[in-house]
Amino acid sequence: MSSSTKFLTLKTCDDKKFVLDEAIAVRSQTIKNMVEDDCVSNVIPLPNVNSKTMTKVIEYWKKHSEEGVSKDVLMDFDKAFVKVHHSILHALILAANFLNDKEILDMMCQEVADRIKGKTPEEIRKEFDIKNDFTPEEEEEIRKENAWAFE
Amino acid sequence: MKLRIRCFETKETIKIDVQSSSCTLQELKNRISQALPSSSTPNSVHLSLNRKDELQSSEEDTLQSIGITSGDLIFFTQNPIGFSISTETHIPKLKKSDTQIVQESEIVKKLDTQIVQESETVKEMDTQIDQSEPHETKTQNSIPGGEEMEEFMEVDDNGDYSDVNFTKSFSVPGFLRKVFTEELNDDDGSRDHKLLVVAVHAVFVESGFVLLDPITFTEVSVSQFLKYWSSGSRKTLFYTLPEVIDHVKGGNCNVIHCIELKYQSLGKFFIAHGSLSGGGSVSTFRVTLNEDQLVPFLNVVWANCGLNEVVDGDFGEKEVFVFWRNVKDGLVLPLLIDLCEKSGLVLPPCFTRLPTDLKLKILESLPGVEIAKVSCLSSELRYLGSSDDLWKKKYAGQFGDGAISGEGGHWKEKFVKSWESRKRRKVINRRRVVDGLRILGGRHPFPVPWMPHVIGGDYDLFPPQFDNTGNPLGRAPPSRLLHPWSNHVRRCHLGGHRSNFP
Repeated sequence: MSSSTKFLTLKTCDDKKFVLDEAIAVRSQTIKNMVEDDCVSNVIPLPNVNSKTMTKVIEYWKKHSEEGVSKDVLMDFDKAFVKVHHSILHALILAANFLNDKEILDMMCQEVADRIKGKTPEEIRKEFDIKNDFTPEEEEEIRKENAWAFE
Repeated sequence: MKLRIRCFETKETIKIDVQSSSCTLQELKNRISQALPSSSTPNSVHLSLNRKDELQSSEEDTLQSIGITSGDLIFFTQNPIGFSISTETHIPKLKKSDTQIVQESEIVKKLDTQIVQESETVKEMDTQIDQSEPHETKTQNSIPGGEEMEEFMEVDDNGDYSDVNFTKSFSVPGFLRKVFTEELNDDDGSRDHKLLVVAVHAVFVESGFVLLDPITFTEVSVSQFLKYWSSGSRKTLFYTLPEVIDHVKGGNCNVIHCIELKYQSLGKFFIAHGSLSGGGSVSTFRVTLNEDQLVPFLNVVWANCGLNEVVDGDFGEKEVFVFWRNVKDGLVLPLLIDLCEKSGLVLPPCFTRLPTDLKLKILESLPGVEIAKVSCLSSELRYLGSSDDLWKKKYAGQFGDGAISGEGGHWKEKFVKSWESRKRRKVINRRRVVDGLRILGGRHPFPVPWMPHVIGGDYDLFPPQFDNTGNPLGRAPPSRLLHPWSNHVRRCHLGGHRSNFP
């Protein structure tokens, strides 16, 4: 790594700045690549991430970078971390995808999958704001096709 | 309005575009006789809607007054008794290129008269409209660069937007077939481009966009799409969201924000650029389509559009999917997000907004039975949830790798078959064991402590470990396969929601 600064400044899309230890920030593969390629000026713009989401991400990064934290504590932290409204959940997925942080991404995608499990289609639609764009005939057809899954 | 005119004898179909409000039967006959290569007179053309009764009316009646609407199929013959008896009269085949030329030259004419060129007005504003002005006379358009003006097509201003009749078919590339059947009934030299443009259009429509008429700023019906498609190497289409139009109609704002989509042809590559209309520093998104790769597959889809049976899954599903994903993630979703931001519409981060590979990732981490449920949510998820690769993985996960043989295709069907047969086996086993304890149609509300290998117990917590027979040591498989919801029912909902769903 050829960066001379120890701290990086991240700028989110709503113009908030986060000053962060480089060692923590490089949990993001995207930021790491930028640092390694030496294309970091003073501020790293994150056009796809807002400050609210970035705060959550940094919270996660910091906790997981702390020394001497037991696995149990981290597991409890993660459990609490994913219990957010689905809009934040999806914002975190998008952010993790952009930042290329596989750990957060996997965890969040798993959470979405877990929230889908055991719900009826109506409940999933409600939970995730998914628009039902079928006509009644289409819906009947698809329900018939997948009736085996509802028995 | 557009009419399809089919020759009674040769079944050849041509498309004719007429003024819907004023066109009379006589004019239609004139148009048809012009379109015919053989020397025919308008009066020798006989028309019928049902191939039996000739359309009889005073020649001055307008088409509308005799109930003909856009998209209707009208049969014609030059045989005066053609409709009353079935004859084998031979009529020379129509050359489609001839009709195409007729239509094209008319378009050019209209272009000259209708478009007001204002290429100097380069502003940072979006395409502006003044709602109080009559549309057809002097609508102002300020588009940066101005050079796109000549690409505007003629405007059909008759408000004839009622005929959106999607084919309700559901093969794998349903999103394509829906639009293809509407859009591609004629062909000409640039059909390959058209196929691609219509395919991209299909993805936009599926994502909730509507085509915007750049001059009247009204929504363009799906069936009129091709009219907005001119020849030439560079073209522009405008899309917006119905919500944006409503927003303007509601008086909340006086500018319709839209995105513009431009196509460029570079050798075998066909490039679609999309950006917000009018903004100075907006980002442009682009997708490059390889005609050589895509057109063969799109052709197959198109060729199957008229058929009702489900197209066999192996005809290039992957290629079409890759295309859909590229267009959706590379073009449609970013544009949707930009447009919502610009027009002040709230598009919170939601499942729909996730890029396709992430949606697939989530689907992949669900068990097969949940994927089937998710497929019932929306047409996009139905499409994603029909991926053969996905079901192959699920099949391997559920019934063991050994069960995967070389033959490809239809993994969902195989999954369902194996699922059903396993369930039957299990029901028999369970009846044997817990007979007499069954409550309410066989559902057992609690784990049975003295039969932990049958229902509940640790099997609820751990993933199934099966050999490829799916039923090791003659024991019943874990109950969670039988009752995919049982964990959740007990933990969260106390079974309450099961009654919602048959």
